[in-house]
Amino acid sequence: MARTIVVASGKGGVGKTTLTANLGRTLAARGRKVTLIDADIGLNNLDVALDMEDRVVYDILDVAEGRISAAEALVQDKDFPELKLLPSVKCGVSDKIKAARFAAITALLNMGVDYLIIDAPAGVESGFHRAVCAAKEAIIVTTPHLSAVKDADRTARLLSTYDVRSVGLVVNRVRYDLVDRGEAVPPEKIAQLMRLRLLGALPESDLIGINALCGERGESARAYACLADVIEGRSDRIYSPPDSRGIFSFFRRRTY
Amino acid sequence: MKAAELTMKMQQTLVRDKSLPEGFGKMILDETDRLLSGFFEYGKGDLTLRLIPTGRGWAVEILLDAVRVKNLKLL
Ligand SMILES: Nc1ncnc2c1ncn2[C@@H]1O[C@H](COP(=O)(O)OP(=O)(O)OP(=O)(O)O)[C@@H](O)[C@H]1O
Ligand SMILES: [Mg+2]
Repeated sequence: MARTIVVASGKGGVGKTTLTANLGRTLAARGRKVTLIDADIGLNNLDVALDMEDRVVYDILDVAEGRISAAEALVQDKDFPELKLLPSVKCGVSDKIKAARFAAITALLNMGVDYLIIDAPAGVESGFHRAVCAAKEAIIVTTPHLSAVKDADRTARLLSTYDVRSVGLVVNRVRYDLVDRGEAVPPEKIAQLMRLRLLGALPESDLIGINALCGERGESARAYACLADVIEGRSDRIYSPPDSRGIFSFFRRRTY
Repeated sequence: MKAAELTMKMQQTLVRDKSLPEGFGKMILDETDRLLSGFFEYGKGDLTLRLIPTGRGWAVEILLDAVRVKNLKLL
């Protein structure tokens, strides 16, 4: 049985799709069997982020309407054969797939994989409901901005009414230069205010801004490796860049 | 703005006190609707919502004809 994790945020554009793609690749690079589901139905993004767009043949609507099996609709990653994607539909047909049907599709994909990661749409409407109903765990993504934190907080509260067992927070686009100068709220503090477990912090990155994927080296790759460790229960270390917090980074993470 | 100031602002936005959070009622209604549509015939039977303080927050019990159908935990 796979761990079924939904990636949600409330506010749009905070990095759900980017996180789903990179976390999926990071786990797959470790040999885990990972299936990603693009639940942002009507706005396919995950295939684009994963650079799989031109290999998409079928999508989730084909599966929902019984034209093809869920397994047949999966697109395999070029670098990691154990990483697969169930693409969403390209045009606006979002209410054709009901939550129960969506949950049934994810249940079918559950067999023989380690992780099923669902990229939820922004907002807390029916698309959110559909994505969350199918999941047992949730990652809430926010940026350090006040409006994003506020929306993430609402989403976290809403999640508590679903059958989601554990909810964790990832703070994306952290500007460590500002954190170090005392001009931005550190991720640990944001999680503390939201009363959520911090699963990870991801730095602002030009690389990600340009092509969505963080690559195998560099700051973002290290941050995703930390996040994957926490998700896999191997450590509880939250990423912080060595050069900025330096020797204090170890102590910092215990302060909050 | 300094981090301390920003933190304070964030804390104020996320303030949690003894009063029920904003949107609480709508959440209960949405949730009840989601839960009941399908097997509850409106107008038949007694639907009761019971609000229970849990110390850390609130829980809502949904009862149909005095039988508990579901507990919703709310932060
Ligand atoms: N750590 C980062 N550093 C720089 N840019 C980032 C980072 N994370 C995400 N972005 C950029 O932010 C934009 C939005 O990201 P993304 O599409 O992942 O957000 P989303 O939450 O999925 O949005 P939506 O709500 O529309 O689905 C993208 O252009 C992405 O490249
Ligand atoms: Mg997205």
